[in-house]
Amino acid sequence: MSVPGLQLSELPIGQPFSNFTTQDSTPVEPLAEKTYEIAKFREWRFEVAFGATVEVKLLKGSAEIFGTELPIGHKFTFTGTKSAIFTWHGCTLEVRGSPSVEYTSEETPMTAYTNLHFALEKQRGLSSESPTVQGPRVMIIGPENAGKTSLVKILTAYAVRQGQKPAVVNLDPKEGVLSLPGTLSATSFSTIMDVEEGFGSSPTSGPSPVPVKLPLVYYYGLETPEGNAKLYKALVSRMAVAVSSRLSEDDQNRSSGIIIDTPGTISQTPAGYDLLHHAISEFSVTTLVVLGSERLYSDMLRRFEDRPNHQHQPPPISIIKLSKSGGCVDRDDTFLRASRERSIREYFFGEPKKRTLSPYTMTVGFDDLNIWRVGEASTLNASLLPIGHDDDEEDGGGGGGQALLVQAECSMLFQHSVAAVLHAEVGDEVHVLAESSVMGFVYIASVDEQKRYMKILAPMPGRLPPKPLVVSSFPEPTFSLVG
Amino acid sequence: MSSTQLSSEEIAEDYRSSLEDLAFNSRYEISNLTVIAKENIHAAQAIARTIEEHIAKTSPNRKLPALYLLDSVAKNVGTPYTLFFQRDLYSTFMNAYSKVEPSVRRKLEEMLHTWKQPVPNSSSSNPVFSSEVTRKIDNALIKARTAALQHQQKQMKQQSQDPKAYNRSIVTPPPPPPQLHPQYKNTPPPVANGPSQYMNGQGYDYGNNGQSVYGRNTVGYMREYPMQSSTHSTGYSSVDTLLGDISGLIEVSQKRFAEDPLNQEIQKRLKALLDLRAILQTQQLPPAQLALVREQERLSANIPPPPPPPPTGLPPFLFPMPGSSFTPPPPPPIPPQIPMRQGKLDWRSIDVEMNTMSLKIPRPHLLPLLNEALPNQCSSCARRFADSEAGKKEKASHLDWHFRVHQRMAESVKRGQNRSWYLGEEEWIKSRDDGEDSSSLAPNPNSQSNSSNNTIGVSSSSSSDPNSSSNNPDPKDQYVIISDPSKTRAVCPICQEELKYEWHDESEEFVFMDAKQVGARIYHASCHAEASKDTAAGNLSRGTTPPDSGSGGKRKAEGDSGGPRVKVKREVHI
Repeated sequence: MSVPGLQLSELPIGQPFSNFTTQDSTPVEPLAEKTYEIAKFREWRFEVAFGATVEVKLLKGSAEIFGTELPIGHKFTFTGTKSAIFTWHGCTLEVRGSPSVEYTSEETPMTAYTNLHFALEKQRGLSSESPTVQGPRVMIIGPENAGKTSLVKILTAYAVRQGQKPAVVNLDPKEGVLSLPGTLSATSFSTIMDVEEGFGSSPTSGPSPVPVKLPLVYYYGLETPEGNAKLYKALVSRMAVAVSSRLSEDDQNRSSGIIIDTPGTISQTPAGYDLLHHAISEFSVTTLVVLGSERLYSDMLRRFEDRPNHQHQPPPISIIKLSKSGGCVDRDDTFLRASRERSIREYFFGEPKKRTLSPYTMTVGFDDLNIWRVGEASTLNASLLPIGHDDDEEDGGGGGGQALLVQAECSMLFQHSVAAVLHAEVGDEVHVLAESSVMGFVYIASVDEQKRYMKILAPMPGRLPPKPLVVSSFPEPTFSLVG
Repeated sequence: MSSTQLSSEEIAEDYRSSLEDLAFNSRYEISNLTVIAKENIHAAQAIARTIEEHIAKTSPNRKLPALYLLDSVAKNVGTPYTLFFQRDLYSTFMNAYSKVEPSVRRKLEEMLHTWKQPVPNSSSSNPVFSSEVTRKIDNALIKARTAALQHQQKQMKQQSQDPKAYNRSIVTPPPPPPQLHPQYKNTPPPVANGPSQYMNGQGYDYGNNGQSVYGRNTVGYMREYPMQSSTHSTGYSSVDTLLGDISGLIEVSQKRFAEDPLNQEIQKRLKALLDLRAILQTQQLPPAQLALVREQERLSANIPPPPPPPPTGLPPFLFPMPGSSFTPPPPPPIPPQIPMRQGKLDWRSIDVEMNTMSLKIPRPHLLPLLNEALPNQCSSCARRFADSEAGKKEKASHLDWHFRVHQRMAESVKRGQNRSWYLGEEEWIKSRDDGEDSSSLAPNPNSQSNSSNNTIGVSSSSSSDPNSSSNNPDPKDQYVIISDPSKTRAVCPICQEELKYEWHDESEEFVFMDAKQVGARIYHASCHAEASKDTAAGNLSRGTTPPDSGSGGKRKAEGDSGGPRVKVKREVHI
């Protein structure tokens, strides 16, 4: 999960635990240094508040963070995160700084998670032997804060560790993978993940100490899939096609298969089930992993169990139930909001002390922009409809329902929002635009309605590509980006 | 359907005809029939008898559903049905048991086990059927097993001797006809005095013979006891059989568990079984332990300990014959489920099934797989490489990459970096994220001709003349003009890093700085200069890592130090 967003908690600093040997306990120092011996099969869970940093170094033994191994002697710096270091064989960690929460747990679901990986590995093996056999396509579903993304990370890391090249698909707009919140993405993983950053970083113009990943990004712009089910479905379908093409192009991708993360809300309502069903069939999911919900599990069994009987075209789905890790912690809105803000900041400015990026500010006239808005069911929509816009715009809805995208007039309302730059052309039809992948993002720093221009922050120098932009309500406007 | 007017006979007759349709294990039909039995509880005696009769006379492959119905009625309706069933439960059960295939027998044993428990979720703590009856069945089963073992051991001793001697050795009063041996599916030709295709449950006409033997002498039926059915002469098969049995039990438990996930009892039991199987699969147990395992299995099946061994007093059953080994038999009909191999672990050794139960079993023997697929680890980022020539090469170039990144990191602080645009769909589909290090670190000077598959859309017409720019003394000042403003992403094939994209004042164009175009490829001019220098000097062949003057020694040392550490790690795993 390693989701950033924890405030300083009141827990005592550097509290020693019974199974730790505290060698150097000077809790008064701001960066107290301690050495922990973690016995095998245990997990050291820790949380670091925003603003605080904790450095962790593996001294000996072996250890992994969500499946990604830590090299010995390398210093990892964590801030605003909650994470866990698991060891199969025991390890010694040196920790500098004071995690707001820390404890070791001997109860982890790693056995089941690892077995799941092995079961997938077997299917990958079978697939690598025959070009007609597809690799496993596993989807993780479950309520919020059940550890879905952590499991996705573990499965991905283990696959990479064994030389596989899985495609990781994120269908949860609430948290972006290698991109901003509000996006859906697909990425082929063949290199080690950046444990400090969650999944890693998308490319920059400079070097990166951990290999960058290349995501394919789509902008959805709302927090939950139900917000605009039509757009969500369109994006999922589009992405499934792209990912399938990728798998058919690259044999290693094909046999390694797909690992799909899903939003927690999707598993809770009938409308969500419908979207879930849609995603499952679009991605031809072969294994459905239900994390931490008995009810969802039985619902899924009912929905998919008998499938091969009456219809022989879709392959049977294995439905697996796994328990949630005791380490899962609820993340409240403040935390999530802070983490969203951080990911926007990091998109433009990079990670502090690690990779400093220099975005460029530029001024653009309203008339040079082609801006769209994600259709929302809310009444806000009406006020944002273009007023006297001269393009013969289509509302994109195509019949009664909610619009995919609505062409919009530049206005103050966009101030402090992020706009997605589409891989599309001005003049493309609305359904083409809606399904276009994203080139990148710009931040709308200020809007001058009088003079009809806005100041934007673009990730790179040069003219802003003449592409359509899409704005929406999620992630919410960020005020602190440009001071 | 609660027509109290109908007489018991009529109801029973109706019931009988419904039973005829019970051809397979249909939950729906069984629950339907259970409901009917419940609604006609006044005719319980007649219905119970009808069910018993049906079980007795229906074909072997329909016995299981019929017994499931009995089970369902007993558990869901309870008295008075249980009382009626109980009277003849022993013969109903044993009769059916003797006629069905081994796989079905396991299901029956499983059912028997549940009869010793209280009905799930019921308030009563009494077992479904009284323990007297179930114990009697248990005892018969155990006797059968024991005797079958004796029989088997004798048979082994006399194996390769003439079949008559073998027959004489059996305690059975009526010498078994040859057809009685077919259950030894694995029996190699010497003893195969019966048709080996016999084991299909069809035409398994043990019938009267078996029935008459019950109670007095169980040997007749016991020889077909599933545990023995494939247990042949070697200890190896014992393991195999044991695994088979356990898997059978697991299967049943899983099914039950799926039906009733809240039942702690089933859960516990399942866990025990799964653990047991894991142990058997991971380790080659010595015979004595194996016997213990067998014991444990019996316990987990809740079969009481065997009655005093039969007169002959043979050694504990399932001890393999002296001299028998655990080595796999030449062509076993069922592939051995022993993942402990001499050779390397690979995905073929994985014994995890994609189902919830199988995922819960700890499999320590598979853990090394995580690391041993690619045992050669980079010491600075923990990335793994294959333990092969190619892997070593890859690792060497990976270390090169580390070195370069390190160098460039220092430089880049001064230069400033930007987030790049994401790839478009088409590019993404075609992109090959080989990660940081490409296999061909040394550019081939002849690559101009074969480099047309580059996705970067820089048209050569608009780029500055590469020849003229290459004359430029400082590579940093070289640039390539970008024709298509949307294609602003280019990766240097040498260092795998992005070319710096910026506005060039002089030419008033967007350019890649420090860039050099060779054919359709664009390199960092500095990388290219360095690489061509190296190529010229060392006359390197294609695909070889260019020696990096500054880092060569260091890398070498790193590579070497990686070796022993990996070794140490592996020892830990085992």
